[in-house]
Amino acid sequence: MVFLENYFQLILMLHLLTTFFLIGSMTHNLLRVVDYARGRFNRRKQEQRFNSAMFWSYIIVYVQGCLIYPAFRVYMRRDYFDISLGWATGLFEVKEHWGALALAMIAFYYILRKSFDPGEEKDRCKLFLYVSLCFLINFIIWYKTIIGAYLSHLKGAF
Amino acid sequence: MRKSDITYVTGSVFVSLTAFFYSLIVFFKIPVVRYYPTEHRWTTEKIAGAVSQGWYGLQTYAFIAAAIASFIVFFLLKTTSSGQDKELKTAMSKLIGIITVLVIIASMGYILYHEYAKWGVFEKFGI
Repeated sequence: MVFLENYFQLILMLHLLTTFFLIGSMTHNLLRVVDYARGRFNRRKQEQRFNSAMFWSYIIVYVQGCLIYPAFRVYMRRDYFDISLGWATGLFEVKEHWGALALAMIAFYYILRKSFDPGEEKDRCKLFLYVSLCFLINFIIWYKTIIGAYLSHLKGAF
Repeated sequence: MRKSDITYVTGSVFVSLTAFFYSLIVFFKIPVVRYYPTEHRWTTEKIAGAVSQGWYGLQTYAFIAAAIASFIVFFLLKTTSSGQDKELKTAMSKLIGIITVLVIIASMGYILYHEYAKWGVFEKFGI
């Protein structure tokens, strides 16, 4: 019996639902951050709220992913992908590695936003990193979402 | 130095070093603690024929190493700039931002290349 094997489908479904929330908050945050890059700073409070929602939903998604990984590793990777679809394992491995880097990035993104005000003239020099992190996090999470959905489709997780 | 500047520098160091150490562990194949889901064991030893997961150990090592380095930077900034109301210079701030982004992109690129080459993703898609 693998860790949380009996709850694999339930946690996977919750993982998916939380991902929807993450994608929503992240995309709304991105739109506000693009405004910053264009020199518009009138929706800062809203942006900060989306930033917090994005951070906490990523933490939940990440924990859920960590919990289902053992069952996935045995019943999907070992029994299916590694044997006949090695390239699918390659796609998955990048998803996991980038996800760990995104955890560090998103934690910093959240703390950085709490520590500075994009509307303040003296804080504008930090905007380059803030905007870049936003784009990198969006890129990684979209990769993770698309690849995660594709791999579940390949095997048929349910 | 202002509190927000210290957060900016320390956070940048943490993120870029996490990415750097992560790639370093992958590149040098540094042994990490592995979880064996069918054996229910955590160990650095290799168990022949058993499925293992190194991802938990890999990220923990990278996070811990980066956290230690960041704490040292934080401590140095706190002690050397206490009582001073200096601001981080704009050029320095931008340079830190550019270096951080470049380190992250380089690390992501290396990881992608490493895994895609290892698992035949390039061949599959004819690259």
